Amino acid sequence: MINVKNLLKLITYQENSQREGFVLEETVHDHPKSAKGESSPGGEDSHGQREAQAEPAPQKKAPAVRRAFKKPIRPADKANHKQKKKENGAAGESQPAPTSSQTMGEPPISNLSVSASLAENRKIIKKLYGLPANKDIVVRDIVLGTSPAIDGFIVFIDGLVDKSIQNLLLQALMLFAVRPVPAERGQLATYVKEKMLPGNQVVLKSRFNDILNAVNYGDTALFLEGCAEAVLVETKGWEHRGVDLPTVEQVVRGPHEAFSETLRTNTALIRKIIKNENLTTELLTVGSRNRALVAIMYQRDLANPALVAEVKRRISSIKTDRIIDSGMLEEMIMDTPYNLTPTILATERPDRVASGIIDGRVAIIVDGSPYVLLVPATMYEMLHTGEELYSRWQLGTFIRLLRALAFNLSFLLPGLYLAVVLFHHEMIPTELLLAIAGNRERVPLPSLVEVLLMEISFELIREAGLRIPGAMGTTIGIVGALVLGQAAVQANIVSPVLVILVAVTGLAGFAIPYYSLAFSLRIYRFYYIILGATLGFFGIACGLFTQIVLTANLKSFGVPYLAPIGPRTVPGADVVTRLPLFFHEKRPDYLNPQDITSQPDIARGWLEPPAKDGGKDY
Amino acid sequence: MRAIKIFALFLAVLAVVFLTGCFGSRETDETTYVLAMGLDKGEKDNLILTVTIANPKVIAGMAGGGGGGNGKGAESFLTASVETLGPITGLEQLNTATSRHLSLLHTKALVISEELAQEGIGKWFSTLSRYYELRATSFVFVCRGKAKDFLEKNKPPLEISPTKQYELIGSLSRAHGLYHDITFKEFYEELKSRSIQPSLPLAAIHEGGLETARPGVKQGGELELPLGKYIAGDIPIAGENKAQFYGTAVFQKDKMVGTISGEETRFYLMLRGKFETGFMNFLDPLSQPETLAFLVHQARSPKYVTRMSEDGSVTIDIDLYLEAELAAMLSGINYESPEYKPFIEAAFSQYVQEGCQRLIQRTQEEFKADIFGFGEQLKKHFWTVPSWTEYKWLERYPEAQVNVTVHTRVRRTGLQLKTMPLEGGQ
Repeated sequence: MINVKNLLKLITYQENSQREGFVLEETVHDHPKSAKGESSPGGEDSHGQREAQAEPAPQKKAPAVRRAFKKPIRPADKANHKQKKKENGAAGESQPAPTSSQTMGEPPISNLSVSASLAENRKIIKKLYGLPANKDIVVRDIVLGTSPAIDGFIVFIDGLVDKSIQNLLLQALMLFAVRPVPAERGQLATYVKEKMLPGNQVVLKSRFNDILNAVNYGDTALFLEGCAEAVLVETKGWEHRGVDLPTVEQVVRGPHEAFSETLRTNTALIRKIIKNENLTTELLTVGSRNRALVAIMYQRDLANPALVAEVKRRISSIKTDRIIDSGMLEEMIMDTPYNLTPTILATERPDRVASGIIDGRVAIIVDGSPYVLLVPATMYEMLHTGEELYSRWQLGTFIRLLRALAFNLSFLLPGLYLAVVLFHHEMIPTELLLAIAGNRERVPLPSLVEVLLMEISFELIREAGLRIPGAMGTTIGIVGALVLGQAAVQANIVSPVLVILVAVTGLAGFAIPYYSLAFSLRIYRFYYIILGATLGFFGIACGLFTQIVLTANLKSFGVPYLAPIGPRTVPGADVVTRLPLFFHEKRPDYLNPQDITSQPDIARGWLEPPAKDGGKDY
Repeated sequence: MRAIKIFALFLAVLAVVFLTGCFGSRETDETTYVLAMGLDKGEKDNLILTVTIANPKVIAGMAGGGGGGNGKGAESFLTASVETLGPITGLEQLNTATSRHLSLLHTKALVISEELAQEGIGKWFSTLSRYYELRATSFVFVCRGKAKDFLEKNKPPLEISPTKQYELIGSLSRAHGLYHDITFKEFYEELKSRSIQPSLPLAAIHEGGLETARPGVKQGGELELPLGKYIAGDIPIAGENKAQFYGTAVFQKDKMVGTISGEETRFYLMLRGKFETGFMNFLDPLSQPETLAFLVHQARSPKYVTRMSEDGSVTIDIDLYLEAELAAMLSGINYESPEYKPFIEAAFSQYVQEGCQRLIQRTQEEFKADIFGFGEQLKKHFWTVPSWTEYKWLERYPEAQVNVTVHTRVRRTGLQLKTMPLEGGQ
């Protein structure tokens, strides 16, 4: 009985009372000034990750209850959530230590302050790093060449530090520091920092927590006898891959630089393009064990502050032990992780990220990942490469239209083929049908099995081609595909028409620029194969309807995924077609940036008639 | 609750699968395609049904292990016949002798023998049009002689299968207008219409060679141009394919009552506004019996003015607008020169006008069938359908007065600007 009631409840219409979690609303537009005031300053200190992390999201955007069937990314219970936040806030006020490490139960010893006694400090360091078993950690005792000589030691991690910088540091301390020092030992660290160390980033810290974080990230800590502070010198310099060519998102026209695994290199690559003081980098730490640094970059005067706050809120709320790659973070902060379609754009091209930031988007860079996330992202954005803007607009538009075709082919073609061959023989020209039928005469398998066989072997070739070790990879991949296709036809296992079809489908899939989207379409393809084989065009129509409804329902950081077409808004000059650059007068409307105008109506000033006074002398 | 939701979703999916009736799934290797279907009058039963069946193996070039071409070993299509009660029954009977389902989805042509057409074909068409697999855009032909012979002997040497031939025939009629193309559904509509009588293109098998040729005007033949002399089956062609398409079969209701020739078919198409282009010969007004030829196309659709007097008698005035291009001048007169232009325009207009009037006269007196669809133009004089039905236009057509005026404009002289007499000998 109760089941029947539930069933009835399920199929009767109910007004949607559950609010969306986060909606990027049209508020900035109306009050650009007040919104600007709200935006958090926090990017001054590049190492101030703790301040940024502790900053709570503005109260007005308190999260609503998520839908019941969604994985509770944020705590489903509102009250509970608030309480937790309050706890975090309190912790932030009393102790600046990161709350994540607190909750994961690290030894409280790291909360200790630096002692004035060198021996005591050494003991603590040994305990914290598990010395002498931990062989990476180097503790080197030195004597400063001042008068009087001062004992001290430096701590660093072998391999993470730049040896030449460190040599300079030691020279400065031990050889060139022949000068009297003030008697008061408490001010010694300040004196060393100000007068003796030539390093470019030198800070004083008195908590072991801070010191450990810095040393773990390649800094060198200097402890001095009688001083309750440690001097942290920036000596980062580990082995890393340099800035290389993009391997996945290749272009013909446009910059050939790609992100690498180093966070600072990546931020610099972006900053190199956007030479603007409003470009803000905030640092957060995610992952209680690997403590990955996550940088978010945005234009302080462009990005919607509500969006920035939401990004920070989502990232800082994540409690996990590791974030190795941006892909992991992506899944953690995604609006709709259960849908197949990706709603966050990951790219390895700094120019795309820069372009997105200037549009008012927020970039999320995870240390150790060469892929930078860009939010919010729409489906149309995912079908762009950036190259369309660098080549001329006619070419760009042509490529976009071609890509639109590829998008449809990549998941519909095998399904349509099955629908035609099984249900709708009358739809194709007689000659073509007879050719298909004739080629299928010797194939002993039903068409569905034939298509599945071919699709699955194609998927296998793709996967294996990716995993085949080293140099033989590409050769074997191509040869394997050819031999398999040719042999399958000759053995009468599949018809030659189908080989062409699967190949075209595969090509169409590769023509989709965003790997993650192409992957989801690869999976959708199998749905359409089943639908086409069981229900014909009717099934494909049902499938398309369902997919469109599901996709239109998606949101990417509060922005509808199909904007500006899904909910129809201001279309913009760069969605499906790409108009000439001088028509790109507005930023994307759905991002609600603080400044919607990207260029004046007449962007090409030389078109205007010269001024009456004869014009300026350029 | 979650389980219930999933269960409900499952039920919905099941309902979609089982309630929609999409069980028509049929693999291509379970089907055999009837490419053309022929209907003959039966000797002992109602009909003889002939089907041309595609052999896709040969068409895809897979016969003989994919080695040699097609043609030698196996035919790309086969024909089979059965004497039967009706067309669909016949298909079922034929199906007892074939391993696969006979599908009409790709039937491109329906060939009806003259004998059966004269007897009446309405009932067979209504049977066929009910059948869910029928291709309503298949072309319909009337065949002089047996449809069975036609389908067996029609082997277009240039095509792999006859379907392409039938498809191309449709577009070719637009290039010369010597027959017209009509699809199953169009024919069926005309059959049921109260304002037009149907007509079908004529086809036939021509067994002989050139011996059927008739003497031309210069050899003392009748003062009639070659195109007007023939209908399908008589044209003196010696060649590989025996099938010919030429002229039109005229119907009164569902019974065939006569044929008109290819030249008349052009006038017929002009009067319907469907003539596209054609190479038209007429007697040279200055040096008969030489001929003059124009490449003609209909400049715009004809203007119809219909008048109805109180007693119900009808006058129809038709203005035809033709554009011509000089094509062949056997007499060697410099017709390119501008002073000849009005003269040859008038001569050609007169030729067309006389031809049209003669054709209209034939349809009124000989066939008593309005194949031109003048009723469509006349309909606007009636406010309601019942009054139009009561008027019985198709019966009154023979009394109608139809006047044709032809306006011709010679636009171009072809690729030559001037005719020069041959130099040299006298």
